[in-house]
Amino acid sequence: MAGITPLSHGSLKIKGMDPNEAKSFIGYVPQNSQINWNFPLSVKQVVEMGLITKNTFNPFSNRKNDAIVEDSLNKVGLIEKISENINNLSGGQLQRVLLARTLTQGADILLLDEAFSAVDIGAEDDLMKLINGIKQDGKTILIATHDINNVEKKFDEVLCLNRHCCAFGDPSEVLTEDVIQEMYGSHTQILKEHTPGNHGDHNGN
Amino acid sequence: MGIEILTDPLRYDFMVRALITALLSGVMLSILGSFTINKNMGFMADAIAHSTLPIIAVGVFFGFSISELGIPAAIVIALFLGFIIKNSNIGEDTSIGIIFSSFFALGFVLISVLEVSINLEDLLFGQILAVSSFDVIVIFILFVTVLAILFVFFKQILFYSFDPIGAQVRDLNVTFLNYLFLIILSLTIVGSLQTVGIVLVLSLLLIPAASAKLVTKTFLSSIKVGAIFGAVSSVSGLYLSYYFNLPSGPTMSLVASSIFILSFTVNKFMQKPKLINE
Repeated sequence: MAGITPLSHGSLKIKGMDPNEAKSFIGYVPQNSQINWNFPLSVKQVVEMGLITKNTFNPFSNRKNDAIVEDSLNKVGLIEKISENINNLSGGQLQRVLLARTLTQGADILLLDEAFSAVDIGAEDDLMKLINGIKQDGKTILIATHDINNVEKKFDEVLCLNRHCCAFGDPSEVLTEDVIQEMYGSHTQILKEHTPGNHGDHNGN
Repeated sequence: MGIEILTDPLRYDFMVRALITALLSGVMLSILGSFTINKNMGFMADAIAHSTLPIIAVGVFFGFSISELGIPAAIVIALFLGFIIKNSNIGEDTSIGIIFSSFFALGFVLISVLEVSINLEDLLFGQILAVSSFDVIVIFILFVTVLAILFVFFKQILFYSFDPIGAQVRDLNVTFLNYLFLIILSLTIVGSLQTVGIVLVLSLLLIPAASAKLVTKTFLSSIKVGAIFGAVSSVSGLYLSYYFNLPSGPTMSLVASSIFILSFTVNKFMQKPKLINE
């Protein structure tokens, strides 16, 4: 969907267009591990990247862009961190900065890749509230995740993949034991037994 | 004693040329170095420097000077390294290591077989006192070109360096940006070979930038401070080599190393490790 990997078969249309033509409609929040955190950038610099295109040749900021950046940071509740070095932020704050970056683009469709992988439970909850708020603005939000905990509470629809489409629909209906078995194979039992305070037979006892 | 310490060496034309070359190289290398250290491309930069040897050997055999060879050699090396790394499945470091050692070995063999009259010590450690007026002009053109490209593509290169996938999704031409950065890095390195040589060029590329990173808070301020550290290292290294009759390239490297030790100490032991804000 992001237009990075060519289709191996079939077809994909976004708003009636091929993925490469629809890039302006797509906002992408990458996995934490894909980012080069060596760069000591400010929150503003990272969020401003959402406004960079292949025709950006001016290294300086301008007032119009500054206003868009500030508006996006306001939406994610991080305006007071605008000058902060990104390396001083928590995992949840970093995700919100990356989310703010996609908001500057004004994209209709947001792709979040493993958005909850580097955040604690509290930050995950904050992030979900933020995502729900963005959804209310009419955006379509797609989140790739390996975490199926509380999926039915978090998302309207779920697409279960394991090299093929295992199921699609309302999570409370489609996340059956058979579908989980199809997705996770032999690890299903671990997931089934893994509840707070109970790690089944895999707790090392 | 006083200002004469600075002006006395400038009685000689070769020292004026050396000073201009040292200043341009020091600043240019440090600015590119800020990107290089954050992109973890130090090994790549070393490979670029060492890969110039066979091209210089063949070029000198056909009667060209190192300055005349600089630009085409840099572009060829950048494109070649970029292509091999992108299209091999053996890992970036391994690819660079193979190219690095093979080209360096090939260079020595060619120098021997073609019986090229090159002073290897000058090539490896630099001979800034021997730069001609033409060399200075070439380095000045390289300096302006590299900084102009970096200025125009600064935001795109920074975006691509920070988040390559995100930049690709944003429809930036990441292949172009990758090769563009490799080319300006190669131009900078090859253009500075006369100053500090193949072996020591890495010291002026990486050390001032790394020192600056230790005492600054943001990337932009690290570029600015790195450029100052680079200029101070190369210029003061040149003066020290003049007054104490030391080899100029290694002296510049040692000054850069001293600044690094100072920055490291400040970063490690001062209460506020990041001293310089924007």
